[in-house]
Formats: sequence, C-alpha cells, structure tokens
Amino acid sequence: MPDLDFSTRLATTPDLAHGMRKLGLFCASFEDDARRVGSTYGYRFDIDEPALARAFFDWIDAIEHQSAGRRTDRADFTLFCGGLALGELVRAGPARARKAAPAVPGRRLARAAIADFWPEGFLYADFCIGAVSAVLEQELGAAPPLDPALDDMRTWWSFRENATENPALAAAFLDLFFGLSPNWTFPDHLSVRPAVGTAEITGG
Amino acid sequence: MLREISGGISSQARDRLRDLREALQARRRESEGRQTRHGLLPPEIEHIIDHAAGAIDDTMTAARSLSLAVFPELTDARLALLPLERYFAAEDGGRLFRHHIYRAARIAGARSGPAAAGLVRETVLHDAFIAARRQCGRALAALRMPGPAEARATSAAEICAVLMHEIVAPATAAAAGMRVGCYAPGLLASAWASVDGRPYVPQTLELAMLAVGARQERLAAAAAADDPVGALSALFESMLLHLA
Repeated sequence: MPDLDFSTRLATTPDLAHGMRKLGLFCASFEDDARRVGSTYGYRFDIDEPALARAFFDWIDAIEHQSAGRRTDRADFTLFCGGLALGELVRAGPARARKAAPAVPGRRLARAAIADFWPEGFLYADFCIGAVSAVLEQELGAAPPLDPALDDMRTWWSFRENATENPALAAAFLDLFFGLSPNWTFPDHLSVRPAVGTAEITGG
Repeated sequence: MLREISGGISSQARDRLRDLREALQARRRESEGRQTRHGLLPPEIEHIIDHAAGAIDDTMTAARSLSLAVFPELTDARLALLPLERYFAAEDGGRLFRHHIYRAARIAGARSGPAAAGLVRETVLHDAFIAARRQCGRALAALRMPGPAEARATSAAEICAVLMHEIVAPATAAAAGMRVGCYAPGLLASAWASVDGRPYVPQTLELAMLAVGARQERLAAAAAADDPVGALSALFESMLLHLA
C-alpha cells in the first residue's frame, strides 16, 4: 500500500526508528504523505496541526507506558508502535479530506474505491504502514509483505466501524494489514503480544 | 543586587509604557467607531482627549518604527533565542533573557489572540529569572558541561520547570493556562538549544508552540500540583526529548 517513494525516502533518514519519535519529523512526514496520497487519489487534506501534535504526544506517552520494563522483539515492537500511532491518529482525527482533481485525470487506481470510502482513515493507515515499512527496511534490510486483506473493502468497512468506535482496535488492524494474527481483545497491550519476553528492546 | 533592581525597574517601566500604548490604541479605536457621543464630558473636551491620545499613539508608533529600523535584530523575524545556560552565564544575560523570552511569548500569545498577547509582561520574566538563578545552580552547572542529551534534557527541564512555576504561580487558575501558552514555547525552544547544541532556528519556536499547545492543559495542571516543579520537569523533559 505505501508508495515506494514515501517509504524509500523515509528509509534514508538516519536512525528512523528514533527520528519518527520526534515531533518535527513525524509532522513533516505525515504532511508529506497527505500531499502524496491526496494528489494520487484526488483529495486535498487539511491538516489540523495542533491535533496532529496531540496525537503525536499521546502516542509517545502510550509507547512509554506500554514499554516500561518490558522485553520484546525489535521488529514486533516497531509494528506495535505503528499500531499505537494508527490508533492515536484515528482518535485525534488531524486530517480533513476535500475532494479535488486527481493527479492523472481519468485514471482509476486499484485502491481508489477504498480511498473514497474513508479518505482520512486511508491516509492514516498509509502513513503508519509506510513508516513501519521504512523502519523495518532500514533495520532488517526489507519491509515485511502486506496482507491481501488490505485490498479487501470488507476489511475497511470493519476497520472504519470498529476503529472509530474504539481507536485502540486500530493496532489490531495494523497487525492484520501486515499478515499477523490480531489480538482483538487487548490490541494495545504490549504485554500480551507473543513476541514479548523473547528479547530486549534494543535502542528503544 | 543593584543590577537586579535596575532590571526590575526597567522591566516595569516598559510594561507600563506598553500598557499605556494599548490603552491609547483602545481609546482611539473606540473613538473612531463612535457615531454619537454619550460620554460624561462635553463633546469638545472628548474631542481634545481623543486628539491628544491619537497624537501620543502616533509618536510612540513612530518611535517604535524608528527603533526597529535602527536595531533590526529587535524584530520578531530576527528573534534569536540562546541556549538556557547562556542567559545565566552572560554579563547581561538577565536583560537578554527578558527581551528574548518576552518576544517569543508575544509571538506565541498572538496565536491565541490579542487578549493573550496583551497579558505578556516583562516583569514576570524578571522575577522568574532571579528565582531560577537562585534555585537552579546545580542544573545550570550541569548544562555548562558537555554530556549526553538525556542528562542535558533533565537539567534543562528542571530549569524550565522552575521558571514556569514562578511565571504561573502568581496567576489565577483561569489565567494559568494562558500564561503557559504564552511563556512555555520560548522556554522550551531555548531549552532545546541547550540539549541539541545546534543554533536556534525559527522553526524551533514553531515546533515548541505545537508541543506546548498539545500539552497546555497538562502543563497548567502540573503547575497547580502538590510538587509543581517535579510535575512540570517531567512534562518539559518529555517534550524536550521528542521535539526535533
């Protein structure tokens, strides 16, 4: 799902895993992705910067609260952090989509129906998937494959309905998008993830 | 001590002049928007007072324009915040601190509206600076030595917390949030320069305003906590470690 340019460009940022936990890079990357997604799918996203900053700091607080004193696999921790970010973005709602002309008129993209169904949620998911992919590409040499469920409109019906009602569930959907088995009961609890306890979070 | 008194008096004088100018401008706006006169004074006297207020305002505006032309570094666009420890080490650090953080507070206040910007006082900064210099000797000494970013963030956050507490403490509960919104971004941007080591750039104040906006309610609540300096320190440290 994430545009190769976005993900690849992000992956060139030194120490991206820590860089994304800085307000400056987080906001700049999100706004960059909003412009790219908007021009590709025919939307203009108005970004509420204070709401984006609130989402960022709530995300930082959530990471620190969940990771305190815990041991987990580095790659799984990155995925988990991406899921928490998706939840905070859905909760804060920093983007408002307005219909605009697509960059290439007349061209119908495979995911256009999904973007039309929920443009803001599509942007949040694209950003989080792109950021997680870039971090994992930088740290492990390759981004993990995405699950076909990502292209299934039924997944998005469920994602929109459930995540808007309970933003914590967004973390479970991000696991689903990356082909992992989601924990629907405690999606935002690091302690119940299978990878916890197998390794130390390095450089967390 | 003499320098402190003189700094306090000059801050008060500048605050009074600013208040006077704002009162004159408010009178002028009211006079220009008034169709019929309902004042207690005869219309001729009202007219003379309006005219005098306009003349004094014009003179003060001209003086300000002239000073900005002669000293362009005083314009908001040329604001250059220093690392926190530099204000406490320099010969005229107190004056620089008041001038820089006052301007940063006016910029931040202007985002909330003219009412917030009008509440910014240089005297408040003078008092806070004196208190921080008295209370933060160890943290200031730590910042003057090289060290890891995390340790520097802890020291810088403690100084910000003491400054913020001194700024907010005299305010009413209703005004506390507004004071946080005005003064905290400049303190945070200056503290960030202490932690990061890179020179200040205007984007830092923009990010600091965003960060403070996201944590304004928590900062105001921390300032009213049982241990305000401890609670404020934790919040400032988190913002410093995740700003830029």
